[in-house]
Amino acid sequence: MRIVKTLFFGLWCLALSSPSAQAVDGNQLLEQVDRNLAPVSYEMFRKLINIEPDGSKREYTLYTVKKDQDKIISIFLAPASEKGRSTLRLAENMWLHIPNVGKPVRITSLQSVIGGIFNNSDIMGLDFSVEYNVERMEDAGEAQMLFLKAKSEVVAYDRLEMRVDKKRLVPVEIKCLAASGMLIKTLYFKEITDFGEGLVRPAIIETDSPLHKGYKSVMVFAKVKKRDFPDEIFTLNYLPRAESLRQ
Amino acid sequence: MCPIDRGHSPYVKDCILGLILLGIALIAVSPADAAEDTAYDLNFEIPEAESKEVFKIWGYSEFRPFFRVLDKRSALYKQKYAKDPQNDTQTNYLLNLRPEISFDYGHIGAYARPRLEVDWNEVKSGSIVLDEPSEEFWERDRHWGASIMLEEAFVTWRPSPTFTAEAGKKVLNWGKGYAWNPVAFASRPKDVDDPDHAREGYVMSYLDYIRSFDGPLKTLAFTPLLLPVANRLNAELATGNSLLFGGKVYALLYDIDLDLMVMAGNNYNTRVGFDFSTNLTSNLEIHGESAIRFGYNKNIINTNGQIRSKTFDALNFLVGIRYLNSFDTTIIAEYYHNGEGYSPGELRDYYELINDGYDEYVNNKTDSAIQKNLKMLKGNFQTTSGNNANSSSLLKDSSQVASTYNKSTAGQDYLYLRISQKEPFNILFLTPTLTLITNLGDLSCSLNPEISYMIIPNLELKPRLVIPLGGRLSEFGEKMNAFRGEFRVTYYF
Repeated sequence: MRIVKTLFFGLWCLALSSPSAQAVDGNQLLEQVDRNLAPVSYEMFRKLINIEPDGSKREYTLYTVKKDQDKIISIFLAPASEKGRSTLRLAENMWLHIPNVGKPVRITSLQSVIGGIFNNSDIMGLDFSVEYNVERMEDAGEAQMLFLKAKSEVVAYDRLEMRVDKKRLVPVEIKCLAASGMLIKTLYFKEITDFGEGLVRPAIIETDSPLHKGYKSVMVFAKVKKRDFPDEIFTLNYLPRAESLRQ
Repeated sequence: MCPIDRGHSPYVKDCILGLILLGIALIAVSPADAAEDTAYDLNFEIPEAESKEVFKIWGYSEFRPFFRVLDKRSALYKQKYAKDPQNDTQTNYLLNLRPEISFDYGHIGAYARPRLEVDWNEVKSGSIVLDEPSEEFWERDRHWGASIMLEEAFVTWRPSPTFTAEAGKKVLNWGKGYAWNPVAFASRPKDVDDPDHAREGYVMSYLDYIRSFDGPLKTLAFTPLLLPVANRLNAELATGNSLLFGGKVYALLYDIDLDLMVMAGNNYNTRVGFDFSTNLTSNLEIHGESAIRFGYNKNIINTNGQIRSKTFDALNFLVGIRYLNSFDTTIIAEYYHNGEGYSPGELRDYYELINDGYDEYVNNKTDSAIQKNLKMLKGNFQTTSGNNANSSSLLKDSSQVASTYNKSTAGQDYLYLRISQKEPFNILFLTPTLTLITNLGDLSCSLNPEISYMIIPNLELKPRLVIPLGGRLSEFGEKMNAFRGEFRVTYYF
C-alpha cells in the first residue's frame, strides 16, 4: 500500500511539473501581471517618443480609455498634425477616425494608425492574457521567464518572451518575436512609479528593434487611473466625440 | 487600357520631371532639416494630462501652387474658351488657413472651422455663389480672389453617452466608400481626385441615440436629422425652399457594420440607402453601399443640341475592398455604378455637339471676316450685325447641360484603384501613392501619383499630379487639362 501511495504521489508531482500545469500557473501569473500594469477599466495618458538615428525626436501624446477585456479608445492630443485622430477597438473590430476627413472607417487590425516605428499593438494593445497563452515558464533567479504564444493570427507578434520581476510581478523586459522566431523588437520596462490607488508599475517603456537599427522609441505613462465607462462610449457613433471624456 | 492621345507631351514630360526632381530635392535635404537636436534628452512631462482645456484652438494652413497644361483640342476647352483663347499653360496659387476652435464644458460643447482663402489665378474663372455664412472679396479683380466662410460651426449638447444633440453647419458623412458615397445624402460630394480633403458642411440639426448590448447585436444607434433649404442655405440639396428630414439607423451585428438611411422633403427626390462593412481577415476589409433616388430627372442632349428629359428611379451602388499586405502596402479598390450618370454614347454625343459647335463658330467667324473684307472692298464700311459672327447655337446648347455633363464622375461605371506604400526603403513618414480612376464605359482614366512626406513634425509636403488619359470623345480624353501638377505644403498648428 505504501508503494502505491508513493507511486501515486510521484505521478501527481509529475503532473504538476508538466507543461500544461505550468501553463495554468503561468496564465494565472500573466493575469496578475496584467492587473499590476493597469486596472480592468481605466483611463491614462501616454507620450510616445520616436528617436531617430540623427537624434531628432517626434513626440505624440495619447489619451486612452479602456473597459473590460476588449474595449479600448485612443485619441491623439498632440502633435497638431495628428490631433483628434482616434481609434476604437471593440474585440476584433477596429475603426479609425480622422477629423475633417469625415466618418470613422473600419481598418484592418494590422493597419498602422500613424507613421514611425510604433504599431497598433503599442497603441491599442489589450491585456497580455487576452491575446496570449503561456506555453511554459522558467526560473531565472530574481525573475520569472514566461514564454507566450499568440491566441490568434490577428495579434501583432506571434510569440513573446517576458521576463517578470518576481517581487513586484511586473515585466522587466519583453522580446517580441515573429512566427519564424525572428526578433522584431525588445521592450524594456523602467522607472517603477506609484500611480496611486495601489497601482505601482513601470512608468517608462523603451523599445528598440533590429528591423529599425538606430531608432529607439520611448513610451511614458501618466495618470493611469481606475475609471468606469458606459458601453455606449465604445461605439462608432461616439468615437468622434470621445475626447470629451477627459475630465 | 488608357490610350494616350494628347497634345503637348513635351510639356507634360517636363512638368512631371520637374515636380519629381523638386520632390526628390526636398526629400534629400530633409534629414538635416529634420534634426531638432542630437542629444538623447527626453522630456517626460505630459502637459496635456494636467488639465483639460475648456477652450482650444488649432488647425492648419495650406499653400498650394498649381500648374496645368491645357489641351486645346479637348471639347471642354473649346466649350469654355472658344471666344477667349488661352496660353498653353496656366498657373494658380492658393493659400488658405483653417483654424479649428472648440469649446467643451460639461455636457455642452461648440466647434467652428472657418476657412480663409486667398488665391491668385493666371486666368480667373467665374466664381461660384457660396453658401452662407460666407463673404467674397476682390470679385472683379483679374487675378486675385479671396473668401472667408464657415465650413463647420455647431453646438453640441450631450446629457449622457447614449444621447447627443447637435445643431449648426456640420460635415455629416454617411457611407463606407472611400472615393464615392452614394448614400451620403446629407453631405457635399467628395472630390474623387482628393477624397481625404476637408469639405464644407450643411446646416442641420440632428440627434444621436446609442445603445450597446451583449450578444451578436453589439450596437444600435438612431440618428434623425432636419435640414432647411433656402437661397444660399444648403442650396445644392433641393430645387427650392424646403425642409428635408431623414435619418440613419446603425447596427454592429455579427461584427458587420450596417446602416440604413432615408431622406425626403419638398422639392427633393426621396432617397433610401444602405451600407455595410466588415473585416474578412485581419488584413482584408470589404464594404459596399447602395442608394435609390426616386423620380430622378435626367437631361440628355443629342448631337443636334436637342434636349430630352427622362424621369426614372436611379440606382447607385458601390462595392470595395481595403487590403494590407505584409510589406505595408495598402490597396483600396472600388467599383461604382452611377445610375444618374451618362452612358459612353451619351457623353460622346455631347462632346461631338461641342466640337461641331466649335467648328460652326470658327466657320461663322471666318465667313464674317470674309464678308467684312468684301464689303470693305466694295466701299461699304458699315459692319453687319444680327448674324452668327460671334456665336454658335450648338455651343450655347451644350452650355445648358454643362453643369451635369462636365461634373466629376459624369459617367455610369467606374473603377477606383489606390495603392499606397507606407515608408518604403525605411524612409519614415513618407508615403507614395498611385491612384487610377477609370471610366469603364470608354476606358479613359485619370492617373494620379502623389507623395506625402511629413518632413518635420507638423509640416507636410505633398507633390501630386493629375494626368487624364483617353481617346477623343471619351470622358477623361476630353478634359480641359492635359495635365495638372500641384505641390501642397501643409503646416499644422
